[in-house]
Amino acid sequence: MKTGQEYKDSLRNRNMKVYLKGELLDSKTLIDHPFIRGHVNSAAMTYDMAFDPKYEDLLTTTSHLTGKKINRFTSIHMSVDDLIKKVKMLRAISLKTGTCYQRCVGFDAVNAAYSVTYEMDRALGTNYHERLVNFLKEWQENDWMVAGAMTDPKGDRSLRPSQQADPDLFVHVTQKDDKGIYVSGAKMHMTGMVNSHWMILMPTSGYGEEDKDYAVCCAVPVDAPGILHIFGRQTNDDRKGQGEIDQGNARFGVVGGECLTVLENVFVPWDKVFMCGEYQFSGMLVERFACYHRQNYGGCKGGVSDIVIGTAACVADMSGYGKAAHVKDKLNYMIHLTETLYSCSIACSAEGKPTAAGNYYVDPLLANVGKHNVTSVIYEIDRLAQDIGGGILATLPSEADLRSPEIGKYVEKFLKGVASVSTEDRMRMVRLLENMTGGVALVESMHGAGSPQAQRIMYSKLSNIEAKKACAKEIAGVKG
Amino acid sequence: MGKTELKVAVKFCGHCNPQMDMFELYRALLGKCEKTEFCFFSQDSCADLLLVLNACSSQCAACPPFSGQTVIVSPEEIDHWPVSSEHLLSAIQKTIEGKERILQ
Repeated sequence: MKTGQEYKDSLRNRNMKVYLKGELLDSKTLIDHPFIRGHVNSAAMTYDMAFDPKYEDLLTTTSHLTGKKINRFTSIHMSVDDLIKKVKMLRAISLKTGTCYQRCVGFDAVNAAYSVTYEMDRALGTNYHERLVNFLKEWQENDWMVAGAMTDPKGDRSLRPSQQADPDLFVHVTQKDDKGIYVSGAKMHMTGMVNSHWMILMPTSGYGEEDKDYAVCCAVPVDAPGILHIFGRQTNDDRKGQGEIDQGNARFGVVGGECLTVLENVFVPWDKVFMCGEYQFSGMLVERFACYHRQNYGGCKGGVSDIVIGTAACVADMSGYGKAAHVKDKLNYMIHLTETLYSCSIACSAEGKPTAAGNYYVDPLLANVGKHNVTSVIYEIDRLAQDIGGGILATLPSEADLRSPEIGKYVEKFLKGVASVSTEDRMRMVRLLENMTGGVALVESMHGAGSPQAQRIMYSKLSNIEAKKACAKEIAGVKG
Repeated sequence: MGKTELKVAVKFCGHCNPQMDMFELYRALLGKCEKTEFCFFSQDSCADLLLVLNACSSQCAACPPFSGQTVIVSPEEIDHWPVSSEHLLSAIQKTIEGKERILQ
């Protein structure tokens, strides 16, 4: 296993093309860029906690492939306990970072691909599962961070991939030869990509035969020839170059440091290809990945919400109204909402079951319900936090004002709360609350792991409405 | 006073939703049980007692195969017997000392 520092050092060995605000960053030092370093620190926490006795029960496990102790983020879930420990691990890490640590996406991708390749091989006589297992052994041995790459740009949403005016709007195979395949296209919203070692490309949707060139799953180094990444902007990101307090969470940033990843005729050798044209299994891969990823949200967002609750409570204490009954009531309701999110993640894990490949899969309906709750409940938790925090969340002067020899004394004097707390500490907590309850943090809760409608369309598929009607009729005495 | 022969391996749950910081409790225990030797649990740890410290009531820490006795602690229980949080530290100390006496 790697330590956080070893992980960071390993990122400097990549020859990666990352553009940020129109400029190509130096590959060796891009992880130090103010826009990126927080996300790197957050991902590094997934490495460091594996070495801490306090957390290692959650952060490590034993490889079912090699019998070695490994970081849980490189593992395959082999039991219900593994599924539950994953959720608990995510909550524990969020308590240390207060934000996304990005490493779950590749983790979910390989767990989904593990069962799908096994079933695909049985049905079609392919040998993708063995390739995936061999790649996973390398992954575990090197403790890589692997990004999961699913979402295509999609262009005109009313058209299938092959109907688009530009074929690159969905990642697709452009050539095949005896050595491997070539892929082109792009992936959007790529969490943790710029601080990963590899990516797993997956189709974005279930496809028909006419779109079989788009049914591709493979592993690619993030710095392979033909790949470039364009780092996304975030709310208030210019603050990252201006001191620490105004950033709110200067050490770990906010959400996952997403980018647009562009692929132009990228070569992938056959041993890293796990699906190529088997369109019948593309929908299964998407669904399994989505459900594993939706399982996470009550864990990671549960932990992030714990920090929001703690921050709101601190701001109230520091301002002298922490004991007010309405504040306590709001905090209690925020706890209720947070534990509700967590409950769904635990429930979908507890109801997990083995697949034909032997690894465990979450209950898909409960996983979708959990993520769907996140799309609204986080807004309510954050609304209550802002209610407690007060208008100062939107009007607080800057760190530069606090440090100013000329006007700092006024900020010091008029931003003071209770006597026992310094103005600077109060400002730090207010900024953290602002950072965690607005802008990209909220959008991520809405759309990360799929927009709300993506969960709703699963409900009718996964829940038997006819059985509910039949039960209702029987109770009402209606025959037929 | 010298150390006794008793060696206690300590294992933590992972602290995903802690009611109590068990690492702090462990530190306090180090100060209280001066005669006892503590180590963090590993598969090859050679200890007389395994102390599993759970930070919440779900007590989800895995109990690995262990040849000696295991004591399971959570914020308000020791081996599933209720103990108030304020007395937890001294109750664990008593439990360990009891094991020490048996060992001697």
